[in-house]
Amino acid sequence: MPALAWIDDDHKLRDSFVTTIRGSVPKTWRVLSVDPLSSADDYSDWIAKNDVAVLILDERLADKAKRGKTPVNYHGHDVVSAVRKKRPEFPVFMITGWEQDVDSKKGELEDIISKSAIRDDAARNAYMQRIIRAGMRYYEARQAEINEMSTLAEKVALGNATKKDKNRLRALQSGLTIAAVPLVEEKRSDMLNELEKKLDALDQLTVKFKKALRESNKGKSK
Amino acid sequence: MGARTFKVDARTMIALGRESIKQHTTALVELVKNSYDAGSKVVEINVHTAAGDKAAAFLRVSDAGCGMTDEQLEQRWLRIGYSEKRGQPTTGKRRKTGEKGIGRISADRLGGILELRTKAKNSAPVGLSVVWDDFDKAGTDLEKIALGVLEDMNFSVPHPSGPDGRTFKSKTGTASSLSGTELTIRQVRDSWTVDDCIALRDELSIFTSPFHKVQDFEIRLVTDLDPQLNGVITSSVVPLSEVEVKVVYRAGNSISYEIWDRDKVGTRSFVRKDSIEIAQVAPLKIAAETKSDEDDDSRKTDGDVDGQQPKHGLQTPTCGPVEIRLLFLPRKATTVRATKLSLSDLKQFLDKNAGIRIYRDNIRVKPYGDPRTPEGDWLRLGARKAQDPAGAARKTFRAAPNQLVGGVFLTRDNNPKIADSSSREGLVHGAAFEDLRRLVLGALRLLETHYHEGHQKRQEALKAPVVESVEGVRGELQLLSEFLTSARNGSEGAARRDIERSIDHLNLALNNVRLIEQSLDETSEQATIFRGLATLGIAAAVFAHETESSINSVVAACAAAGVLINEKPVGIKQVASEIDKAVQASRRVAAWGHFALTRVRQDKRRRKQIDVEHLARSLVTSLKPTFRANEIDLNLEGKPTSGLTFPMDIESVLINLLTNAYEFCRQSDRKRQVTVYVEPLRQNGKTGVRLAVGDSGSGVNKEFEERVWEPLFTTRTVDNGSVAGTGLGLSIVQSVVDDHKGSRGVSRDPKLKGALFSVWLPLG
Repeated sequence: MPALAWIDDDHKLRDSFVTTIRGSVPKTWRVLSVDPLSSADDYSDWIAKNDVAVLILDERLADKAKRGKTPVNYHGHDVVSAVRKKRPEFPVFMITGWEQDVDSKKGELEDIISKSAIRDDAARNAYMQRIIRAGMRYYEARQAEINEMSTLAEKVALGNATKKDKNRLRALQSGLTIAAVPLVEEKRSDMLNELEKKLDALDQLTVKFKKALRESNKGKSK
Repeated sequence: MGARTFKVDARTMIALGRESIKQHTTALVELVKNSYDAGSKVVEINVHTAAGDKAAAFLRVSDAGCGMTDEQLEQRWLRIGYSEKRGQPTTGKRRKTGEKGIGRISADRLGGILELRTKAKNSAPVGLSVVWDDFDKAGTDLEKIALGVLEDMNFSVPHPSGPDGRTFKSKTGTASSLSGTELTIRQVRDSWTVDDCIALRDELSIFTSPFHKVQDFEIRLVTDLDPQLNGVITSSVVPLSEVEVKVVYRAGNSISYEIWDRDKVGTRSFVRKDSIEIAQVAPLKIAAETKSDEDDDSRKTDGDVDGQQPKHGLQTPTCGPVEIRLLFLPRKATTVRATKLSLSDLKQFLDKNAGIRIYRDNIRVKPYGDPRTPEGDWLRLGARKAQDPAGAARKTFRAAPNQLVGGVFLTRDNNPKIADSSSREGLVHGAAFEDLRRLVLGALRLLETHYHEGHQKRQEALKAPVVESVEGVRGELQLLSEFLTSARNGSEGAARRDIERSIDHLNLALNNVRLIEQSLDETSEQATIFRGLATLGIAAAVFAHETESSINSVVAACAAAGVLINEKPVGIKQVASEIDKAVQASRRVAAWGHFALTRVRQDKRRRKQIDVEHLARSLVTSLKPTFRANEIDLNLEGKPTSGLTFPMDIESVLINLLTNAYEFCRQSDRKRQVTVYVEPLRQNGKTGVRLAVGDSGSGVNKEFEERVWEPLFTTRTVDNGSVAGTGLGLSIVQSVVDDHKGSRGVSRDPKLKGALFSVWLPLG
């Protein structure tokens, strides 16, 4: 299930915020409250790995640091640029106390919200609705892609895939950062053999089960 | 039937002449410029007033220039708007001044009649006369007005003055080798006075060479007004020079030099005479770079290698004995202070004459020193300045080529190794020439160093506190009062009453002075308050974000507590944790409020006996939480330092340095630390306190070390590259330092590795 991730170096403030928004987030969603990652380039993969559907982050990520570590050396807008390279559609919202520093990057963000604006409960709720909706849209679009992928994979397995289909499948695979497996068709024969073996095993199981059932029935009717 | 043409109305002459020039002295200078452009070595100006008899008065400008033939008179002089200067900007090799082609009409401004007599070499003298009023007829074509014929076209050509000052002229007659031009102006329009002649001398003083040995262009004045005004006009350039250096090289490896400079009011005085090793001002160039005579000027290095070590040990110059004189005239209004010259006069002069010229036997060797030509810039002063455009405040200050007038004096007998080039104009650029270059650059270095050293003193002089001047005035007035009192006691009757009245006036003046001093004290106090408020403003801009952030934390924590309390089951521990966060954050907000409110208290504005370390400690304590909120470790290393001072000013200094440090240490990856240092320190025999703030940032770039103290200068950028910071904090610190007559500096903190800003203030 999808997740909403909140990145801020000020963990106390972040945890308080996360506590207050949990109510707005759909029950099926996870909420991740996270310290900034080591590098701005790590975010893209992390988003994929954790199934994150929408990201909230601060601009200033370098004010504080985890105990014993130094603060990171990048800012919110760096993260946005890095993520946008691989995922142009991914929704990112910035909630920051430093909105004047970020105006120029506004085009790359869904929105820039000031921390003082969300002091008010009603305002906070309204923003959260927007954020959740953006996350939902992305998630649904991604789900559609996943479905499309399985349909195409099946086609390939059955040998019905056209060249266009195969290209589309490759594109989807790379977009979702799934390890690009060699196209199924090349190992089709292996796969079929595997399938045959599994089917045989199933058949045998079915036979054993039926036999056991017959015998237990016999026992009962006596 | 011909094509249509323009006609010129005769009245145009009037418009170009008397109506376009205001000052009669200016008009006469225009005519002298023509003589200069004619390549004359001498021009004689006669101002004959005939004791007010207008009929007998005349003005005359005569020169020994190239003159004109009949044809040239017809084709050039009579052609308005013709200027041969436009076509060839140099006479022989002298750059011409006028290019508009109407200078001669300025004669109209001077008098009703102009008589022109001129003679070119190997030609007969020719001439004409002009009655300017003939042109005051609107509606008549210029070309229809006939000019007069002169009966006697002979005139006297001046010769340069002899060494004893005697002057003489030669009648043209049939002496074919003579050439020159004489303009005589009759029906003089103005009554020339002594002051006019003095003004004339001043304006013309810029045309002659500053080096009296050189006889480039002699201007002399002859007038019947006052014999003291007669004689050769000497250059005023030397007394104008901010710095003059004269270097004499005889032999060996050292030079002797003399330096003159000017004080605040413009009085020139001798500074010192000394000798110095050549290597100290002009280290050796690498021998391989020395070129032979077929060298290509554009590939030359500039030979000025400050800081480099001589590569082959000392090498004695081979150029022979040389005298070098350099004059430095900054192109600023201050250079013409206390003279009648204007800045544009100075710039005009420099545009024509700037450059370091070479003279052999007092005769100019071209093209060295020609302004704005590559061949003329034989020391590559242009490139040298471009390489390091540092101003006078920096040690590496270099004079710009358009501000230097200089002469390098050689003789054929004593400098045989400096030979004429056979293939082009100028000298052979061999080893001897390179040595000469080196010496001249060494002399230049002496000049620049002296000017740089004087710069600091000049800056301080410019800032001379009004307070001291007022004290001076009060002192003088009091002395005067004492003098008058004793004079009164020794007088009687009407005289005594007169003195009494003077004393009354004096007392009024003294009273006013006291009021001024009082007002100055109040202004000074106000300055302290304004600095304190400004500092508060700057601190607010920097730290207020923390407050905002803290308030966000309070609200978020309370909201979270609210949510948690309504959950079932209630997580009491979490609720408590959120409330605790809110409390901590509120404390930070309160701390900032307290900090802001205690800045401008009454008792801090007056001079008090305080322990500076104590003050610093309470400041550091109140700012610690704000710094910690950004992971910055703020500490104080102080020693008890008591004294009489203004607490608010001490705080203004510390707070501004701290806000700087706060921003700086966020720039680097090092562990963030800021340390405040306070300790007693004596400087220049006075007790005082050293206040310093060091940070763990990336330090201040060496080239900005002086500039950071300027108002509105900031190197701070927001992380996305745009400018942050007001650029005012350090200028407030500078203002405190100036008011208290302290000192300040920036260097590197040895422990924290970032910048270390230090300030020393005297303690009463």
